[in-house]
Amino acid sequence: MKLSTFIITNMEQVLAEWDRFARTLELESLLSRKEVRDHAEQILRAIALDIDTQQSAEQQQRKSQGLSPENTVASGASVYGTARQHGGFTLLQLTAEFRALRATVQRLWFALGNELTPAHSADLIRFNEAIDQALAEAVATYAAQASRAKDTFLAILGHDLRNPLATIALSSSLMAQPAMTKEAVALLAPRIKRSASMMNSMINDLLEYARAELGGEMPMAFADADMRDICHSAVIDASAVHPHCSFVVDAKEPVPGCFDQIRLQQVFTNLLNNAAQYRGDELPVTMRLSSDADSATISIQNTGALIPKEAVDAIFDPMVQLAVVPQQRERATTSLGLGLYIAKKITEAHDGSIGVESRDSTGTTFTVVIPKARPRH
Amino acid sequence: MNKSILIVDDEPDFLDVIEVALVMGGYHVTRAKDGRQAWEILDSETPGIILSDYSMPRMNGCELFELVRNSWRGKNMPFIFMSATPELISSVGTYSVLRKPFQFDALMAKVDSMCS
Repeated sequence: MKLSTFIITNMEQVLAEWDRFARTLELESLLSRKEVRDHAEQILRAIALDIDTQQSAEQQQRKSQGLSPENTVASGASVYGTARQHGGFTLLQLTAEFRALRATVQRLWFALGNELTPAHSADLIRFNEAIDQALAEAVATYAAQASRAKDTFLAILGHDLRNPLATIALSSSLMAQPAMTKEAVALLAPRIKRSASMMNSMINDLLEYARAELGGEMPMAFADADMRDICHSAVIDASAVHPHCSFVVDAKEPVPGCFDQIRLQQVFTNLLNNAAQYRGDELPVTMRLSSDADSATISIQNTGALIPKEAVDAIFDPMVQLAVVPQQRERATTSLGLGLYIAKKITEAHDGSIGVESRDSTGTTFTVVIPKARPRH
Repeated sequence: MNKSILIVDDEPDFLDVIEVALVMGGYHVTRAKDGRQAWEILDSETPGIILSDYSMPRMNGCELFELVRNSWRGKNMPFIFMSATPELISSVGTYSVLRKPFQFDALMAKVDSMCS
């Protein structure tokens, strides 16, 4: 049987086998299993078509040099590379998928007892050329997307750091003016303090992010603590940054457990600051604490501009977020969302979970669930 | 000489500070927290200068600039963008730029020159 015919007629079997491998990659992807399979099927169909297409010696030579023509393999692979970058795959995972695709097709084809005739050898060469072309195209697209996201990341980082710096620079130069009054100094001083504290928090977030991306462990210090105290401390921190925002706290009962108090306070402060930033005019931010026998649940809710649907899925990964949603129309047009990434890491270090819902009826609610017992790892 | 300025920025602390600076420089100040609110204010006020942040929710500085330039009262109104990333400003037309962060002297030099 020709290899191209084999691929088309045994598509389900090939994909099922390949999918079993893909599941072992242990990736936490934003793509559904169906999307992952659909992309692979699209590539395989394009490859089968390519194998059957006449190719001159010159075309073959150009393909081997990476000078591939714009064909269905290239465009399918380009979609594949973009989807994998947006889906949170690493480059290693992407290449592993292609390796598995190649191995799966060849193994199942040879299992039919095909002898390696000259025609079969030619098919195999064409198949490998097409797989290589698809891999090169997918990697190039993936890398271009990732590079664009990094450029955006750096631009936003510069912007976000310069904004509080602008308040500090203008305030301090004003204070040096001979006409400066005591009343004006009293107005400027807390704004300088808040801006410095905001910059400090951004730099801390950035360092945490860099450490996590470089594969470093986040240091944790678990001890007996009361979640209610942690919630109140976070509200005090957020109130200092947003003095005009009203924070309503519904946390009546103590919720004792084994937590990293400082880290969780950082999570809740980040979520409260976000909520205060995006709330509607004069509307309060609500924080609720509840618990059952095993875990504490903390929700932070604000009304105001909603998070777009396409941004919700990627909200905890800044690089994916920047690639998927370069600009959010109704929300602030900058902000890296590093705080949310770090909130997720800290929650996971507690064996907990974090999620978000953004709806017209209830506004935006972040919900954090933290087990009361110390994590086993 | 119209020594009134409309300042537009989504950072309330920065708005407070720049208001102190401009009042000290002898200007009358009106504030808006984003482009949309600024556009509403322009319905009833005609400032001598607009000093606007670029990156804001709801309506950014470029969108405000376009509306102002397309209105009969605003087509010649001095417009200054304040931005930490002025290279992102893509507006077509006559405007001036103050790169954040800036100091009091730079601010006054810019608005005084535009006002005169």
